[in-house]
Amino acid sequence: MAMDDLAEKVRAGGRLSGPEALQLYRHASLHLLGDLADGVRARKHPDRIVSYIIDRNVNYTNVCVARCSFCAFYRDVGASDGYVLGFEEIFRKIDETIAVGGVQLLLQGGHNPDLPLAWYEDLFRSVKQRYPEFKLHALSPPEVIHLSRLSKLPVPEVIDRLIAAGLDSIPGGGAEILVDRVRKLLHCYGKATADEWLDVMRHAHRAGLRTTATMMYGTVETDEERLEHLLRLRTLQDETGGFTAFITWSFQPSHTELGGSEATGVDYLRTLALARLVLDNFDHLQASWVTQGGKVGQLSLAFGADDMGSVMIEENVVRAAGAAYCMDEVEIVRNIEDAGFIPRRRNMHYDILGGPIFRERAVPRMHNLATARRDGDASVPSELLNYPARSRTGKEQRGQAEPDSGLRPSGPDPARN
Amino acid sequence: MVANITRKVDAGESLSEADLTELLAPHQLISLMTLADRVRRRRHGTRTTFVRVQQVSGSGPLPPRASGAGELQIVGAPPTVDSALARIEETLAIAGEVPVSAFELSDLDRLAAGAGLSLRTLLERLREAGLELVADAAVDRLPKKEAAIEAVNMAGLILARASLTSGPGHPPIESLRQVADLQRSVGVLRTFRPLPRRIDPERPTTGYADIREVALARLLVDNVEMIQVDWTLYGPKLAQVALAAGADDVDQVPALEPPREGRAGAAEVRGNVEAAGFTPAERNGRFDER
Ligand code: SF4
Repeated sequence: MAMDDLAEKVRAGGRLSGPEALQLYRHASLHLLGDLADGVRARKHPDRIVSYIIDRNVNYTNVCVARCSFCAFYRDVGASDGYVLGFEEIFRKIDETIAVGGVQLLLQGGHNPDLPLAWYEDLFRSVKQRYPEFKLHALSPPEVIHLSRLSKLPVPEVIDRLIAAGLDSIPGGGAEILVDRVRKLLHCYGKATADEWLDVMRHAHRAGLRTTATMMYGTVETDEERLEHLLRLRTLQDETGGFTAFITWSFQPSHTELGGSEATGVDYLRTLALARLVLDNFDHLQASWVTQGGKVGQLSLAFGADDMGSVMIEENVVRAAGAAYCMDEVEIVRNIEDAGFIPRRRNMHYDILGGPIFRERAVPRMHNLATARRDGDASVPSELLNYPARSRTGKEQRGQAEPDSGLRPSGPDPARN
Repeated sequence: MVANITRKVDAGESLSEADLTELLAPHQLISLMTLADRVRRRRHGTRTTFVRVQQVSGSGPLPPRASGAGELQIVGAPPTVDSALARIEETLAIAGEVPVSAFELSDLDRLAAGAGLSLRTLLERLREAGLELVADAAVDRLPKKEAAIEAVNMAGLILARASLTSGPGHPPIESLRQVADLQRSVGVLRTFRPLPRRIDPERPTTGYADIREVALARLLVDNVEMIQVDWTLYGPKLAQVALAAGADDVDQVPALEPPREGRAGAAEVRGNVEAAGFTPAERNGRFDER
């Protein structure tokens, strides 16, 4: 189809086929893609509201057996700088989040073999007991699958148990590119195949949870595979309607095994615009200022995004890969208004909670994102002793080792395999 | 309305205040980028030049020359005429064939006044010491812009860039028109950097403001050949997007060997230029292709 006809089809609200979307992505100018994506955004959000959420991105552990080649965050079992946050530490983070108007934790972490399902259930219950209104947006699909494997329970049952303990919604992390060829190359096929990732979301939606969806691009995927990812999300959304929003970001290569260079700012804007055109059944697209910086983050609002994501307060994963951008609520609101939009605070369901909180009461400015822990803090939370570890190192640390196991020299951990 | 503005731009007609007010509305950002891109492509096609610059401080030990440098730029305001002359001579001694640029014109204007010299006399002395290029003229800091830039010309020097210290501001139209007027009178500006050189860390410029200013500069400063964006100051992402908004020259690509991680290296700039759909061409400080 000629480019003008494709543009006309989008403007008339038509659904793009895969080949049509690919043609636009490959051959349309940045300006045309932006113009079309902005048109879709304006159709879906004629009120010119751009939302954001005040929440905190807490990574409860960096110990992970998945070892994805694009990840700079994980530490091996037994690593000296591996950590698990204690319940009290997490409560402190929630207190700090509530103090600046925050409404939820985005809680994700590594696949730690020494944290059984009961640890998560106890954590969620105790959070809900202390903070009944506070939301838990927690555990991406690969973490749910990891818990399913660890507990030998089917995914729907794990989800039900987590919901019963207090889970409110599931973040769309760990999707990377939902094509198994890519997942094998990135060493993330083992943690979740494309079908498994989508299945977790299907079960979550059926169980009544809303979730987000993500895409990490710029590693080894082709244009076709980037598009296939979007089409698979669109199909599931047609089926369940459970996704609230889509977030895409570029692979951050520093300190990763995969290495290489980061996709460019223009590639980000083109990919975001493509997503806005293909994901016609998604209401919201978030800007990833954490990976793109405030400026391209703000420009996202002209290329299809209608949400500035999170005033994160804390971030560990992207920082580990070299990016360190920070925007507090004041800065996010300034960027939204400068782009001609109306800033509104929201929750995970995109219910509008109000205007900027700093205009209602004094909130301290935040010029740096917090980290999970202070450097050098190697403390082990006391409650961990109550949970059975699975790795040998974990058992030794918790005094749960078999009588003869202390004699063996340390070697590769069986839980990794 | 935008269709009518596009027609005017294509016909080379000047834009009215109403046209500009319309284009400055945030929701017209992409229309503004599109127009600036049309003008830029008419002038330069897809060609995008870049220059690798090695900055040299005004005093202290000189670093070894980076092999990739296309310009050695002496930065900072010289405290005395003698120190300026000495630094030029020292830098020339390591420069080889690489063009040397030095100082900002309003700093030199003040230095000349303090030393009881005319600006032209000072510039002639710098020229005699071997200087080829005045590194920058911050036109918003020059009290007598035309005279100062003409003095550069008459002293036999070339002005490497013209810029705005505080940026065009809001609304940016007036200061950009002044740059165009200045060029009508002096005719020697080859490049113009519209984005502010001074950035308030508490309140950095936004992506919208930066892109709007680059695009407006391309539309309003239509008599200066090249619109520049600074790779080091604005970062690869913003610099790359600026190429789609009228900029055609990437300044201050660090000349570091081997390329340091992040913002460095000719290969990274070339990759960014190509990924934005343009054709990279490296130049040196004399504007010669390398
Ligand atoms: S991306 Fe997640 S699952 Fe993969 S290694 Fe990192 S922490 Fe583990």
